[in-house]
Amino acid sequence: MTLFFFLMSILYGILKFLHINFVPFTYAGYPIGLWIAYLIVAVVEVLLVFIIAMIVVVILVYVFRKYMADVQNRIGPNRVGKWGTLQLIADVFKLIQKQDITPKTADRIAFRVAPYIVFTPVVLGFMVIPFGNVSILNLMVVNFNYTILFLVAFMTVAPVGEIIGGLSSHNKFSLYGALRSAAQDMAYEVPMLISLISVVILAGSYSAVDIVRAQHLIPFVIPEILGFIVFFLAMIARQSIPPFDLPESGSELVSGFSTEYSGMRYGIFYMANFGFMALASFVIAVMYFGGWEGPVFPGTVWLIIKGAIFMIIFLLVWVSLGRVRVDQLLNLGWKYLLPISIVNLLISSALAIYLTGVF
Amino acid sequence: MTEERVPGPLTGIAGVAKGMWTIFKEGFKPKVTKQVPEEKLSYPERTTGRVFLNVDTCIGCTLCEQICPNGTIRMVDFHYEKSQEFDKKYPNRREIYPSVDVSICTHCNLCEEICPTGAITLEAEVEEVHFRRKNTRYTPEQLGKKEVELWGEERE
Repeated sequence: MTLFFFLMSILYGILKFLHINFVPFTYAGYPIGLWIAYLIVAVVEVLLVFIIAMIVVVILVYVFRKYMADVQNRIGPNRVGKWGTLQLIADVFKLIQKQDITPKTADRIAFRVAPYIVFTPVVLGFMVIPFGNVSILNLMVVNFNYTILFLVAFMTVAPVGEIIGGLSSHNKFSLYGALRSAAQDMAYEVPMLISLISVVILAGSYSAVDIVRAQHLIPFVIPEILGFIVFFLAMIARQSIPPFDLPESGSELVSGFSTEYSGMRYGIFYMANFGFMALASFVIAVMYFGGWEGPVFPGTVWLIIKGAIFMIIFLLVWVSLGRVRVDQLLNLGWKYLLPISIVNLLISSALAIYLTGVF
Repeated sequence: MTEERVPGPLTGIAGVAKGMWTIFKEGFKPKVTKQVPEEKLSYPERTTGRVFLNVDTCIGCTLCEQICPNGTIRMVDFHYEKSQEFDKKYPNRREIYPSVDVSICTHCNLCEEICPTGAITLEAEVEEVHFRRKNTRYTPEQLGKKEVELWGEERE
């Protein structure tokens, strides 16, 4: 019986991967006899996404350390493995060995849950990135008509985890970090959402696949250059990397909301940061630079190339710019980015109406 | 009346772009790090490293012993047959020459400055390896040689 379910689940997984809906026993559209199959497929999918995210994070951390060493005329990690490629693995083992300290006065449950609230949405965000198309297949785990809403929801959940971590640490530096994180989130998220909405208006769909298909001739960065700039700055602010690393700010707030974290919980924050950098690069590539669209190479290669370019740009911004003040960031968010994104929304709406009239 | 200059937003953007371009170019420059066990460190020519002595031109005036701040240099009796030419120009009748304890030398360069004949020099030689403390005091003869030449000697 178990074998039967196992085989059925594999069959079902293959069919689902091919976008063929063949479910023998259904009630109101839901399969009844295949709940184990559903379970296994879901677990496999989540594992797949997790593995992809982890691979991307490992590569990105290595590239970050090497690139930072390059611009500082250093060599960087070069002892663990060939050219230091296994350095992150060694670091992870070191972090796992370390003691997991919870402060005596901290809010225990919230303190322990906060890293996962930051990390999980980043991994889940990789589910809705279309990694290319092979004939009829879109290499994405979840494909439905509202993937952008899904993505936005996950992008905006993670700062809540930072705020929870900062508040529950019962430490004044962490508290400042959490408050700054809250102020910063409100400053950049509204312009970010408005510039995403302009893309959705221009493409006429909430689906990431449709947005990429709409950019077959002209990438959206050309009609929406203002929206791209706003979204790019918002992504830098969301990752909390310099020049907008106010919640962490090592020199003044002792790494802000993650002051009290040690061992692997700190490591989870660290990996979430890099994971979001990769996710943001892929989102920018999908939204504004045509995702998998491109000549000669297969689509996956194009998406990876575009994403890698943006990762390098983020790293360059990280290593070259200094930190701004809190009021400067809030001024930038509310006084400049918000009006610019609204202007961009008007432009793209007019363009969408015009194009609808033409075609 | 001084007029306050407030830079506009374009000035700031130009500054940010210039800074990023500078950093970007820096990524293509050669590395300055040397991996020490495998690679050899290079020192500038004027590095004040170990004391070197030219026995031919030393006249045994003991100025270096007097100027030395911590007793690194001590005059020792040493017999050396100078050639006719050097003996005429740089006579050393008392036959005393400086010996140097390299383990306490601070490389202050005073002996080189005060030496009237230029016999003592501090050169870019920093690799001093010894297994016995008694071996750190160099005889005048050893002071004339490079470290590489000294490694072969039995100095137990």
